[in-house]
Amino acid sequence: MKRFFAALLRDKTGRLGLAGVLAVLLTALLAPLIATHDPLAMTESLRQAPGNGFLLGTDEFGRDVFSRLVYGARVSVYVGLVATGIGALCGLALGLAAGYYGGAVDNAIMRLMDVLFAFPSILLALAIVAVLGPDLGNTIVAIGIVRIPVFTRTVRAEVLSVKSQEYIASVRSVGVRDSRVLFRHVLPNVMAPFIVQTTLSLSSAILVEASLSFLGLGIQPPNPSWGSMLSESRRVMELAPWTAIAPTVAIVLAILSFNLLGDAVRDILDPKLKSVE
Amino acid sequence: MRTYIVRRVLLFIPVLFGISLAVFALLHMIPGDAVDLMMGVEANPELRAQLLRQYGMDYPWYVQYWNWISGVLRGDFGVSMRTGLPVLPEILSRFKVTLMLTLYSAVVSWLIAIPLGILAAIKRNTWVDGASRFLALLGVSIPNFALGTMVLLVLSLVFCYYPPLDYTPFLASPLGNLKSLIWPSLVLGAIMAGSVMRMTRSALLENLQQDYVRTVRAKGAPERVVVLRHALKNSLLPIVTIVGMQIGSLLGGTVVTEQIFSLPGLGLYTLTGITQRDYPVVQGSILFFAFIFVIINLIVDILYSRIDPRISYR
Repeated sequence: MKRFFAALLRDKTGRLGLAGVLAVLLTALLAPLIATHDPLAMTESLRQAPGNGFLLGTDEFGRDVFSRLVYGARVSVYVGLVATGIGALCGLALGLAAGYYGGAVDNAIMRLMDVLFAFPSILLALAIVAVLGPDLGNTIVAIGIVRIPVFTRTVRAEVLSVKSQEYIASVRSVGVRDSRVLFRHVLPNVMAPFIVQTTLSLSSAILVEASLSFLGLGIQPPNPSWGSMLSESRRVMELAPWTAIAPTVAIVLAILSFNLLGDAVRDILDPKLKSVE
Repeated sequence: MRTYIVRRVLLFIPVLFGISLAVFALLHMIPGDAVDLMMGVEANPELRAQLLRQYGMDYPWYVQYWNWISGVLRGDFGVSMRTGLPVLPEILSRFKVTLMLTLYSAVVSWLIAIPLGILAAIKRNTWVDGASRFLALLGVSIPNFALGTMVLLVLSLVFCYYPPLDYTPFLASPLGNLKSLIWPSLVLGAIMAGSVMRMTRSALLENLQQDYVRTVRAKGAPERVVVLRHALKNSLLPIVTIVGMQIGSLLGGTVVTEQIFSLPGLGLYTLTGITQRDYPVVQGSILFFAFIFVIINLIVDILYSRIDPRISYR
């Protein structure tokens, strides 16, 4: 663990990504302290340019853009973490089962994954949210489900390669129970690619949340989310460009940070995957 | 090879069946059905029953599924509950728009990615390489709706230009078609360019280290010939593959982009169907999307195993 962080800090990409991710996490955590205004309060100064008491100006309803941005970080982080968590855990369980037991179990699980994989991810998330109704919890479930196949495939492939190793055969030959083989001997060996996949998935979860909210099927107004802020700004962006630019910058910086961190973690944990540099 | 393709195509049937079942099941879990939505608050039990019967929604789910899927197999996707128009012709005509958008975007991404990828490989570990890496990362980090909005903002504020709101088909006027698609294609293409560029760079670098390149150089061929005629030619295959993979996600990306630029494509049709809970429209278009997506994946897989003989045809 210590070695991992040391390696992460040695790497320029890793440092940059970690700093960005920490900034986003802290903003989300400390939102009430950082925000200068109530994110939902409408003031009399509509579409006021940045400055004059409003750091990033106000939107068409006179709400403080900066404070909404800060609270929006909460949504992105929360959805990103929980949705990735759901996808990762379900994928881990399914991937372990498919890879370890093989045969009919493997076939059933992987065909189901093929079906899930056959939908472009944004479309599947859209359809699920449309069914469940747009709100925070359902957005999380939808994004979580969309992420399952990626994890299942990664874990299964790794289990298959671990299973063919001789030490697994020897552990089994002395009569160790399946569950013990699975959790004590197979699981630790699939952790590296699993963690890499989890880090990389965070950024796409945040991206899909922003897209859903942008389309009006994610977080519902008046609650602030970066996607919905950008979508609302489109009506007035010629008059008040800051209402569009601020959430765009926030989304790009957050996703960029998670991507940088994901890249660095992959280079450290899974050097095999590193392309020719 | 032929058995491999036949096997893959046969494996497809259960997947397609699963997709159709998944799409159907998903939509029938909607709390409050389309009829509720159509009638609004003044719920009249008699009218409700009549409407349910009219849409065949008073049968058990498996009968409804059978009615739908047997129609689909005969090319009848049902009619829209909102407009009363048949779904399949609408899907096909709108898919033309989405297809054009996808093609233009792919071309844009090649125009950006391949030259930059070559440059990054030749100038490896210089600032050019670093800048191209950063651009590529930026590409995967910008959601298409954010880039699209920024493009519209810059066009209107700086250039006082507003992209046309009505779509011109290619056959009516190729130039008008380009005019209505150029901005959304630039947006989607720029985002897609990132990974294609990285792939171009690493494939080219790998080839430049091969023995045959040394032979070509030893013969005294100019560097331009070495890179473009020999190394690039051998790198094209992995590049083609990643492009194929990207087209799938490009199709998904069109949903949001069509909404921003109000293009009458399949993505916008699906989106409208979803918000209006127009079952036949949503079922049909999602099924169609998934179908295209699966076909592209199959083609990519087959292409891949053809390109790289090390991949076994099992």
